[in-house]
Amino acid sequence: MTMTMEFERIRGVKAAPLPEMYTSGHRTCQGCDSALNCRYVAKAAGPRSIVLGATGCMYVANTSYYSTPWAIPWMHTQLGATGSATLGVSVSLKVLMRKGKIKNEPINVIGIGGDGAIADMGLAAVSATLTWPEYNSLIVMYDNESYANTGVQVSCQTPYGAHTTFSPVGTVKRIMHKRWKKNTAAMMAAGHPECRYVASACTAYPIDLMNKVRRALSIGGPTFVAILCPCPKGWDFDPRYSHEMGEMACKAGMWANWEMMDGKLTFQTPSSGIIKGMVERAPVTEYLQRQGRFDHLIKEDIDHIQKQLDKIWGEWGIPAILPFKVAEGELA
Amino acid sequence: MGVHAVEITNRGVYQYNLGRRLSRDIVLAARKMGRVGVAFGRYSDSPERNGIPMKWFAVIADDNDELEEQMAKYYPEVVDAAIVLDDTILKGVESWSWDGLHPVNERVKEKGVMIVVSNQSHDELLKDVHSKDLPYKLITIPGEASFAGMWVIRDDKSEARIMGALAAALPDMLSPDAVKQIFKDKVDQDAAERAAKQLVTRVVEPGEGNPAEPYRYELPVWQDLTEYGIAVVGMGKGGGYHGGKEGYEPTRSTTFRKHLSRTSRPVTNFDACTQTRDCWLNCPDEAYNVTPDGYFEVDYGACAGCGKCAEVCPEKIIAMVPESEFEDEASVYDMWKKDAAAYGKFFQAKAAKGWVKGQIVGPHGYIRKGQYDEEIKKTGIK
Amino acid sequence: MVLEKAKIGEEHEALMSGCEAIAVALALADVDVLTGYPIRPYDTVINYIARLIADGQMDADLIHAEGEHSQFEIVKHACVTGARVFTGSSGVGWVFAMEPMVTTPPARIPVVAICGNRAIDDPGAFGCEHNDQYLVRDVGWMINWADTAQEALDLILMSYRVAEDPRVFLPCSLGVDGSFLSHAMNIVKLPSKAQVDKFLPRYDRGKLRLHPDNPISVAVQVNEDWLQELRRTVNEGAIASKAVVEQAAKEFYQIFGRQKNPFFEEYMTEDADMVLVGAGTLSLSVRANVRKLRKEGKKVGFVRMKWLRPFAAEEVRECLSRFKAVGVIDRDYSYGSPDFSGIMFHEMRSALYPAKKHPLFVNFICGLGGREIYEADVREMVKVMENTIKAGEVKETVTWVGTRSR
Repeated sequence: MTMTMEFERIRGVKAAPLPEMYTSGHRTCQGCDSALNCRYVAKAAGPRSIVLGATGCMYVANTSYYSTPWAIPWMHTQLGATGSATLGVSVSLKVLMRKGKIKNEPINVIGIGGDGAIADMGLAAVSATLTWPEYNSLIVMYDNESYANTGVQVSCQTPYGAHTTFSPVGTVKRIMHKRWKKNTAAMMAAGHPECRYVASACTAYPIDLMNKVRRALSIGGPTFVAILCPCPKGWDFDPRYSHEMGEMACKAGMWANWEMMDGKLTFQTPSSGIIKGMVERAPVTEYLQRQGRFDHLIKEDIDHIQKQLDKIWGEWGIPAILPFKVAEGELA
Repeated sequence: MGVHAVEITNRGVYQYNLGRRLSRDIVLAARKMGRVGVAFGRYSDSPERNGIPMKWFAVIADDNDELEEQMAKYYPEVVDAAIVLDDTILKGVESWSWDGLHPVNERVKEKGVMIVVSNQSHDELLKDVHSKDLPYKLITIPGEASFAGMWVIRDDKSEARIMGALAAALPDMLSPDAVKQIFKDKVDQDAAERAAKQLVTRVVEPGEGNPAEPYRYELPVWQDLTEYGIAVVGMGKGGGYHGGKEGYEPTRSTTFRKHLSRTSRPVTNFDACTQTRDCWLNCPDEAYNVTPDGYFEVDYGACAGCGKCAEVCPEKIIAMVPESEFEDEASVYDMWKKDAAAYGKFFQAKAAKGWVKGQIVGPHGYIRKGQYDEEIKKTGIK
Repeated sequence: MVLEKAKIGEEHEALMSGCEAIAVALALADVDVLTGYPIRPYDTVINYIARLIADGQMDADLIHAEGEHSQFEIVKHACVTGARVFTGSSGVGWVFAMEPMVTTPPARIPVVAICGNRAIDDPGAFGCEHNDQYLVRDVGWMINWADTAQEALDLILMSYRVAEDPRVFLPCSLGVDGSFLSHAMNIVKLPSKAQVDKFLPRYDRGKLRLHPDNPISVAVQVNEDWLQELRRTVNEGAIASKAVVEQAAKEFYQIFGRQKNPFFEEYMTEDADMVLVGAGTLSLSVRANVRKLRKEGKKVGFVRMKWLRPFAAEEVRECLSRFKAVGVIDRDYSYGSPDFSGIMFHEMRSALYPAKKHPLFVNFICGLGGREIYEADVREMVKVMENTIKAGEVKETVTWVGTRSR
């Protein structure tokens, strides 16, 4: 297998690397945590990296009108093509190195796509890439819970009941989006035996996020990290609170931070405290009442969401990961 | 009556719906007067982004031929009225990469009007607005910028007030009666009437205003694009602070800055800073430089004014201060290094006008359910 | 499978299908990355490629994609990173890959692909039709057609040479008629590795390469301030490609003794009154029947188009304006188009508009869905052209030749 990069573990905020591989000048919203995620991923990966970016906010708002914030090589790819573009670059580097056409060295190949790009349209391509053990790559899903760039439409990652332009709050239909969020990262972890690393992170926990990116890039083979990125425009909250929204999402159990590495699953703050029973999950009401996209929810809606969360954390086979258990009496 | 054109500039997302509705209202009111019109935005403004200035237009004419002639030029080069929904936008409009800085009054015709929603005095506003070669009228409607996000509208009657003001400012274009007709609710009609009486008007002479030269870029010809085609050379990887060996300063874009997205900017009380790095770490716009002595300096060209840094600072020592308090983008870190005592006083004065973590001063987007209603109640708009 | 192990790299003759010949060409061209996905009839080439790789005759990585969209995306991005790539598809598979296909030329990426010409669904049918390849003619792909397995091998090498020329850097698709070319086995002269190396330089993307040593951002988003100028730069590449095809054909002819005529081939046209025009394997039947008709005294010839993009308008004008009548054979359709005719007909007729002399233009739509073009069909075409010349005007522009009808 072509060699992977070796990284130091980032031991805290004071040890976060300074160089920006993604820099000022992108036409993103105030408080955009999807942009912040690009910054973290690029920072963690360093200069010997190539990034593929699918259509979405992190394309249109980044490289808007013949400009770029990327200091490392970057190429646009299609909405459903994060997986295939990433694989293409990874395969090419490996073959060219093997044949001596380019220098043999570790180069990070990272595909970055939003929730629409990864969990909806591009799911097949991502899944395919995760089955190729001989090619090193990292696919990052920045989950801002909508098709944000096109005006905030529903994706399979949009939370139950959220107001979007495809699920508006109307006089006859108050809730038009009744689907529950797909468990994308868990799907990737459970479904690809050759994939050694899958993780779930949040921009509110940046050191954890960056270390996960580094572990993914150094482990070898195809890897996947899903990252919750609070979106002030789409979720409708004052951008000053982007960080707090991320923390609140994790503390209420609307998102879980975890890592699957070579067959072992661990949870990170604050999900680890919740799983171990050391910290109570925060009631989801406060989280919901801080965002305009949930402004229309009534008690019955909030109760439904809370009930679902209670199930996810209390009844699932693996909390927040696996929705089912082995039936009674099936095992010896 | 001829042809009239109105331009509305607002902050992306925050007054998006207000701007859009106003552009429609102008055409609908004109229709009540038997005229025809078109309301439209700029395609390149979309998708609108929190804070980034954007524009709406309304073009009205007496008949379809006249209207067509005007629309053939599409975006009006000259407008009878420019409406500005957030007075911090007066510092200039930089809407996208390579577009450069556009004075907010650049399209206002000779003796046209610029209507600004503001609590500031004209003298204060004229420190920001770029000077023109032609005279025009500056009109303020007292009030704060309205806020509403994607889904929840802050119903502060700005729409009715601005329409009322517009009719008063341009009686040739819109009659107060026509304005009344497009608002069904009596509260709105009253608000429109009252606003018309609250206007503060002043003639701005040629040369009056901010003398700074707006920066612009020359777009390359196609022959110069053949080397890279649809690719561009990547950004530099930054280096030591101000070109030195210590600290760190990123390479920043030279074709797009975020500074004109701001309604307020972060100011740090360096004396009380414990150098946790949280501000630098949480900035989505890479606006912080790392100084050789380990402090964090905002590059005000790059800062978008989101307020995240102030909100995450564990020491609560970053204040988000309204843009109206500043006439330039001088580094406050330089100020502190030069004279810490004077800076301390400066910081206290500025911080009092803004907010630090835990405080909520003035609206800036949705904070929690019911908040807008409370704010409206406080201001007494019925 | 008829390839003998030790022989790739040596100059020799072999009996092989078009697909096999293409696979050998790819091995000789030292392709780096290939992708495949099953759809007939092109996918047989992937079978051969896989075999070559498995037996160590080709050093390349073959990715079995999970769909055509990914197939073409993978090679697009592999190519921009500096790999010489290959892929292909047919019919609706080709259509499913449209998104990566249209986004390949603007980024100046020289992907080389084969289109195993197949009818587009619905109804599902895998017989030969040309519409699939024509779908990319406007967006910057170069397209050409082979009529024999030999030519398929030759045009693959030519395609790399032209596509990867820095003045061009545009993708190229070789049309391979389903079954007739892809699967029928003919005698093919395989060149030596030394000959191929002499003809085909290494692929070097220079400043457009995606690699950490060259940090560029490729395909940044643009608005109306930019797009017209950027399209203009791609147009320059298309314009430049014509001279490069000519140059490449000259070099090819010097080394291999074939491809003397870069853009099209004339057959028995010297003193012809009327010519048929077409592309692909229908040329076999047309040539055979032109010979027969010549023996009967009919002054008929045949012009076989090879490259449709770039379109050699001056050369086509000069050639076709010599004749009294031109019958364009379209193995495709273009519903609702001017005179309800076929695609190549439009191209030819519009190319002739500026010529000083205008032949009478008629169109023959036939061979759809893999239906063969028989002697009776060719005779009918010649009859129509004769009648048209006699009448001095075109009475009926289009004939659907060989269609069961009352």
